[in-house]
Amino acid sequence: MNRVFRSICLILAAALLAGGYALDSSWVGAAAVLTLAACWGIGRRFHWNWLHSALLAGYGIAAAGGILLGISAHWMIAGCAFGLAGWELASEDWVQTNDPALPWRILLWRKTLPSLAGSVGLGLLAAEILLLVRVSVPFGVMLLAALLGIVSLYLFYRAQKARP
Amino acid sequence: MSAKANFVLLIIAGLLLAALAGRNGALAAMALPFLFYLAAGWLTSPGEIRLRAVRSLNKIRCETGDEVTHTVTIVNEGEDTLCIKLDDFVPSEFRITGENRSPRVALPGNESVEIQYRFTAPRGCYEWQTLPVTVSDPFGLFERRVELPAPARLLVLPQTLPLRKFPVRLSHTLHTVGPNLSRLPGTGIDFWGLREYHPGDSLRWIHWRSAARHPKQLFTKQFEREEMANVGLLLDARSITERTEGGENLLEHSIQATASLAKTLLQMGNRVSLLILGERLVRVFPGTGKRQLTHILDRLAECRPGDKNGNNPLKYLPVRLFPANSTIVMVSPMQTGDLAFFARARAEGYRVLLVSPDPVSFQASGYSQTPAASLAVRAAHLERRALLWRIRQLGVGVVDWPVGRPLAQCVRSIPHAGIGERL
Repeated sequence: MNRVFRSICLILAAALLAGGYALDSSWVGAAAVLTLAACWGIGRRFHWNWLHSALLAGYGIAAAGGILLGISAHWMIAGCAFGLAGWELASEDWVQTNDPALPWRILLWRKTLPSLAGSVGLGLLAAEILLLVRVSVPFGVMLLAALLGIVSLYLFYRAQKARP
Repeated sequence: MSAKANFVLLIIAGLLLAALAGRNGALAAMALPFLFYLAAGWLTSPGEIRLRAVRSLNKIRCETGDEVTHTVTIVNEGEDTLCIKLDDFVPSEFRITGENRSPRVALPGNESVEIQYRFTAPRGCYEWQTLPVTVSDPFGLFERRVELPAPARLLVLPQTLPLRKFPVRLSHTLHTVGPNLSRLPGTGIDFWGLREYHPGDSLRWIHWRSAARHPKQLFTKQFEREEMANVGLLLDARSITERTEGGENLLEHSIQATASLAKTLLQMGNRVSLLILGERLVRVFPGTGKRQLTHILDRLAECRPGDKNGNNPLKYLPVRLFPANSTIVMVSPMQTGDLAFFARARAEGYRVLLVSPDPVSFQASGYSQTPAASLAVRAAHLERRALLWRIRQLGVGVVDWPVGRPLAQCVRSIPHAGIGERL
């Protein structure tokens, strides 16, 4: 079951990003995204777990590049969100044969999937709303907000690191 | 926080910085799915952790190469479901067989999970005190590591090589029934001599041929009494004896030889003691039987090389640690400075046998086949031969054992008369 969801997420992510580039006639970008997707598949086959994170970063860069090139942000953000879901589902071998702990692994899978769908779905929805509602913010305020955000992330990181 | 969370944080920070640099709100919006994902992980991260672990092994003592089943049972004594992952310590020498030993599972309250794996281990003493468990949210972003007490101990005993019998005649026997000829008349099998018949002697022991030659006189056959002997095993496990070549360790060969000798000597019915000169001085007091073999094998399983006993502990080793007049069997690859020990042991009246695993031929296989290397190996062989010759001159029996050959084959070739007598 996990394999199906993971494949759907990865195919959707690649299709959305490549589709966005294709709509803008950026065939090189579309080919690059499809190459990344193919690499992901190969990495999965050879159990190169480090490749998953590298390719999520690659998807993120492709999506950010697309937005900066003026390609539809809706396609790019959706592609990146599905990439995130696919990355989470690919990060672990969920089900193994002859595993005595199999029922508890299935339970973990059942706990993970709704949380993942909910969080990524809500994030995508919030991003779409943010794209639709045009708010004009002065650069200074934006700079302050971004710095505040980064500092908050850093403090959050430190607080979590200090937890026993 | 896990590496995954750090990676997601990095992506969010990168997107926010890119949004700021490019003055593009869409880039900031792209960070939202990541931010929500991180928030979901944080909100579902574990609160109170009440776990208990029990570790069990299907064997507590086993021989090298035996497969051991390791089972860990984790009980969630709390009410909340916890996502847990085992980070159990497994020594690098273990060869794991079977399934993944550290799966992530979700464990509901008041439930338990059993995680099992099988392994084979080399000789040694392995101890576990705690079981490290990582408790996290379902995504594995926010982790908390707890150490649950779960003690267990495993002794992997050294392999014993088959030795048919101990080839050395042991003198200075104890006055207890045993396997060694004592040069005294008594009950036994080997003919010793004749004496005059005493009332009460068994008729089966009368020597009828002498009775025929001497009328009105009867003679009784006497047999050589078979008695138990004291044997002290001395294992040299100093750091210098630990030499590795091609994944094999010379010390392991010494330990195997000591275990085999102990088994053979005890099976014959002798009283055997052990002294290990390694990381610390380990002593097993003299004893007989299967229980003594268990003691000896346990100490050999725990044996670690080391030099905590000084620079050359063999030189100052009190020989009197062994029972008086016993036979000392020393297992050591030997070095030049060790000669003094043999002189002292012989002067104190001990009979000494040296079983020496050959370090030169052991390490020679690893050298390149250059003329200089072969010359060096030849010189080392000559030096060793000279050293062994000097030891033999002290009346010590020497078994030069190239470890590639079976020990039984090398032990068979020792001359009986060589031990305890100056050649």
